Amino acid sequence: MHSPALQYTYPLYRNMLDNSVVFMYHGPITPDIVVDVLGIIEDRLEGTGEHRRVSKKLFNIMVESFSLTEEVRKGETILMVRQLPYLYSVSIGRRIQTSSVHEVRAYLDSVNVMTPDQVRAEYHRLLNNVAPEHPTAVGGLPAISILDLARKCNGYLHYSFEYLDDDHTFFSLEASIDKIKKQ
Amino acid sequence: MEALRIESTHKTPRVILDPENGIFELSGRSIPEDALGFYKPIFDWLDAYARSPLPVTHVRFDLEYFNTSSSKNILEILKRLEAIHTNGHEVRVTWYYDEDDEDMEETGQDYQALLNLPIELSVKIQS
Repeated sequence: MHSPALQYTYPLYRNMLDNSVVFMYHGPITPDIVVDVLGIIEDRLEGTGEHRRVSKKLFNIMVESFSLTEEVRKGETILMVRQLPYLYSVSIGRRIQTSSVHEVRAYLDSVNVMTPDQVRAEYHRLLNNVAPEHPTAVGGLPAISILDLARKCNGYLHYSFEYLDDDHTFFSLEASIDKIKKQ
Repeated sequence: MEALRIESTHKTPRVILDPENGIFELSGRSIPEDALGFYKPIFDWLDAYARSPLPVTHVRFDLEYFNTSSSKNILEILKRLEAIHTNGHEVRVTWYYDEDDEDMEETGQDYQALLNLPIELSVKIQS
């Protein structure tokens, strides 16, 4: 007789395989865990022949993605890296306050229609005019991290919200990078 | 003035601020648990150094990766160096980046755009 856990092993494996998931982490995220995760990804990229430009970019996106989960300490955080033929994607998921959903959605929508120069200008504004001890937050998320991800992936930030209850909503954000540099 | 030396860890950079030997350097990774707590002693040291700086201060930044909370604190360091420079003491900054790390290069360009301070961008020589 199978233990309950074994019933989920193959479906999980199949799901990860079908969705090109090469790495998944669920749990609290601390700087120590960030370093460990980056080490694992580095090991996985080594020997794949991946261009250093791409692996550097992937690293930088992962480092900043973790900033969106900094105050989450109870294991509600998930991080996922997908490797597709032409791109990598880094997704993070975490709980946020349901009352923050509108603010976060509005901010992401505004960033997604900005030109690269506008994103850069707004990033500069937040970097230069806001004291480090009082970062600008959007629904509890650091606005500058969202802008930084938008700059690094040079494109659209996909997001979703899954309503959990009146207090909590699960928020997911995905940043992708092309394996081939756009001209 | 006494030097400030902080050894690197796997999540914080090595810091050397040593006027006697003319070495001013930040190198490594910066994803500290408490970014402000880590950088505050550096701010305090630079505030004291600004009262009597060397005629020329050459600062090297050689960072592997860092998050935006660190980048704001690095900007605070650079603003202090800018103030020294504005007060008539030469300050030169060299910002090293890996030739494949376009984000690190771009960050150096951000600091160039935001500050009135000579910041040279320099590709790291691979060993």
